[in-house]
Amino acid sequence: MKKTKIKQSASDRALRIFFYIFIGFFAVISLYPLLLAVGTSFSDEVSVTVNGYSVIPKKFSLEAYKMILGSLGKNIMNAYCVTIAVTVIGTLFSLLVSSAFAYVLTVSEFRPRGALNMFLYIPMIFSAGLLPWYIMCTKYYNLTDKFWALILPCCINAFNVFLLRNFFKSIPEELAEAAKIDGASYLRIFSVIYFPLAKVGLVTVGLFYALSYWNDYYLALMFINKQKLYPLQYYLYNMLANVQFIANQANASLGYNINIPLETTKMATICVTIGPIILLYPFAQKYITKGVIVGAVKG
Amino acid sequence: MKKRLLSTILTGALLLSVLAGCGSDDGQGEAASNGTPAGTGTAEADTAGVAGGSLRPETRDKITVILFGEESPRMQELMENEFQQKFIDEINTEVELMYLPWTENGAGGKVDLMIASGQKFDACIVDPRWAASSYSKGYLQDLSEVIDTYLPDWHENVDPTAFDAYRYDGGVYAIPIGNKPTGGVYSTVCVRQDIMDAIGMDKISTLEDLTEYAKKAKEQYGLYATYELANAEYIIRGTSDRNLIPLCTGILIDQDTKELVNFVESPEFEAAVRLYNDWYAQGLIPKDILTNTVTLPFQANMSSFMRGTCGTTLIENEPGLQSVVPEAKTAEYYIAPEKPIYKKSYENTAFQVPVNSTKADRVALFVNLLQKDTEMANLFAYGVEGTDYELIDGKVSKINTEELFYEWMIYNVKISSPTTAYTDEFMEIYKNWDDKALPALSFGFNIDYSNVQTQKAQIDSAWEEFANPMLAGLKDYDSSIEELKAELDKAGWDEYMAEIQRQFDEHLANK
Repeated sequence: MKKTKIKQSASDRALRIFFYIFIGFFAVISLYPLLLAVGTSFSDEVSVTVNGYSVIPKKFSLEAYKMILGSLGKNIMNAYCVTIAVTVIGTLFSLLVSSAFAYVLTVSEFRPRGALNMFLYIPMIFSAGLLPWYIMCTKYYNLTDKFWALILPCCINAFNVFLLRNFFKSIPEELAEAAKIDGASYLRIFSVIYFPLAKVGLVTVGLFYALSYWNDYYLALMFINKQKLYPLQYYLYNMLANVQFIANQANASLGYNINIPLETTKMATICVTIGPIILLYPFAQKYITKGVIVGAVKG
Repeated sequence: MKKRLLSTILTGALLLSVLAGCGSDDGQGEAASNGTPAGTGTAEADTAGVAGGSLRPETRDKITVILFGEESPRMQELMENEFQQKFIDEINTEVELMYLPWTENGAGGKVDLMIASGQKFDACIVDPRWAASSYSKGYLQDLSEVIDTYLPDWHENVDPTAFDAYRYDGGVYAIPIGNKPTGGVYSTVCVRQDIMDAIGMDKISTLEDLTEYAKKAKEQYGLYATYELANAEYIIRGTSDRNLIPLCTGILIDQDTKELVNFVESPEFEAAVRLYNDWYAQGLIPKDILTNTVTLPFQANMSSFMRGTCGTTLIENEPGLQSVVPEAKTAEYYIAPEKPIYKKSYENTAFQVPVNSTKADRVALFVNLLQKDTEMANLFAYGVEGTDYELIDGKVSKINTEELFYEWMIYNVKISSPTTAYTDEFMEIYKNWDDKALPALSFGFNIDYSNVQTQKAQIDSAWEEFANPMLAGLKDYDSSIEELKAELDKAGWDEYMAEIQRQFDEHLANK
């Protein structure tokens, strides 16, 4: 059968072309800072200082990458492995804990769910402060220099739990009731019915968790002293702070007559760290918008 | 039934984890708040019975030292082998290094958090400002006793005046390390000697000379004068006969009358701002002086002068500058060379010992070892001779360029070997740089802002908004001075000045 196309009026077409141009232009504007970072990371430090940032390097140089990946390449690879392990394990663990928590909050027969809700709400509004948190993690949970220090203190995020709870609420309760009549336990209802049906929400929340684990350096700053446990972001944060210190060092020594590629190093750092996580976006993109909207509007 | 079993297992697991967490205290039970300096007692016990005057303790112990930055692969290797062996042989102490990012260097960072939470470590590098803050919080241990006993070589090689920056209420709260000339730091102006030669100038001794140089450098080389503001010390030095040394935001100290000077109301401020107004009108000051964050504009060949750092600009600035302008040469000049030169600090870096450490004696021995003699200073700064560096005519030629213990921290003009980058002529000048320097009144004076925290924050903010545009030459003196004074008054200038005056009077009385 021949497909019939709806004919567009000239004004519709014009509007459509305008929108495409506008969105395309906006996309280029959004992409520009990233291109600028890439271009600058491949530039010579002096040319950046004199001419400023540019998308196309005025004087090509790999000095910044040599500095980051050079003799410290082995450490960088180790930091990459730690970050990947933290992101994968942390995301799965957080999803499991958050979704289980969120599911419990939707089960109407579960009486203490009001109290649990408050348990989640209160820390969102009031915080005990840095010192008690630090003492709790270091002296009571003994997380100093432990791999789990990079996951446990942030494994549950109240906002994400509420988001998931709203997803679960959007699933018709009749499904759970029917399963219950058939003899399914809560664990089975959660794992067989709710979990697969909330795929959109889980991907969205999973991406939020993955991003926060990938970008986190603060937990490492607080709890990790052993270099072999440094995640990538912390490793590079440390390196950048180091470079900045050396560059600003005035009258400090009879040894620092070296040129530190400060600006270009910063940009190269950005390029090295955003690489893998940026690849996740296209795969998860279709879920993100949908996920956030559904999760947000359901009360 | 299943539910009951599951909940019992979960409760059991939770209980176990809580017990496990509480059980393994790992010896970190002592809170910082106990405030008991515990180091000296152990020190005496440890070394008692050591014969022949040797300070090497009989028992092996371990200290944890916090440094900042990143442990290089070579440093890791040396800390596992040669360095560690040397620590054991010399002071019978294992040294464990813990590295934190440079962002944590200072008050309110992770080190303070560790002390406050009672986490154990034995030493960390510190500067006078940070030490003052830590002392006021009760985080530091009084080291008066250990410095008399455990620093024999240190006393030979470091000026004990360096302790003054860390003295509070009769106690000493950090052990300085290193020994470098600092007389007149920032009081000189570093200029392009190649430009001076080309334009036929042989010296710069007044602000008029500097203006002439800046104008010709702009005309002939297209360089801006500077990216530094008019409150730079070398500018203030040239504005009057008074010997003024900056103390803090908006306050200077007159070294002769021993009075605090309100900079904004001083004739020096007026002269400096008018000079910059004039320079700005002539196009000598870059329009982006307040917003351009370029770290080293002089080295990038963007300006014709910058502040000098007691002779070392030749070493610090020239190589960078020559990568852009190969024929460039630098030189430092004192504006008003007839005026005295002041030494404002001795060593800015020291080792603090937290109040809950019991190993202050070991820390002192560790610092002493780093400053013991040429062999030790070279070993810890440059590595193993033959592997990490070679000695050529008494100078160090590096084979390994990775950072070990910070060179800038260990470098001691009395014992350390310079690198081959430094000529004999330079070293001769450098070694004697401090000879004519007088100690500044502000030496060892650390302001405690806790009583005027709000005023200080407001004054800093007002300074940035209203004073800096004037000091950059962008705002005219006559039309802006009243507004600046009014804003500073509104920010609480009187309380701020009174508090600093009170502390300064106390400081002078204790001197």
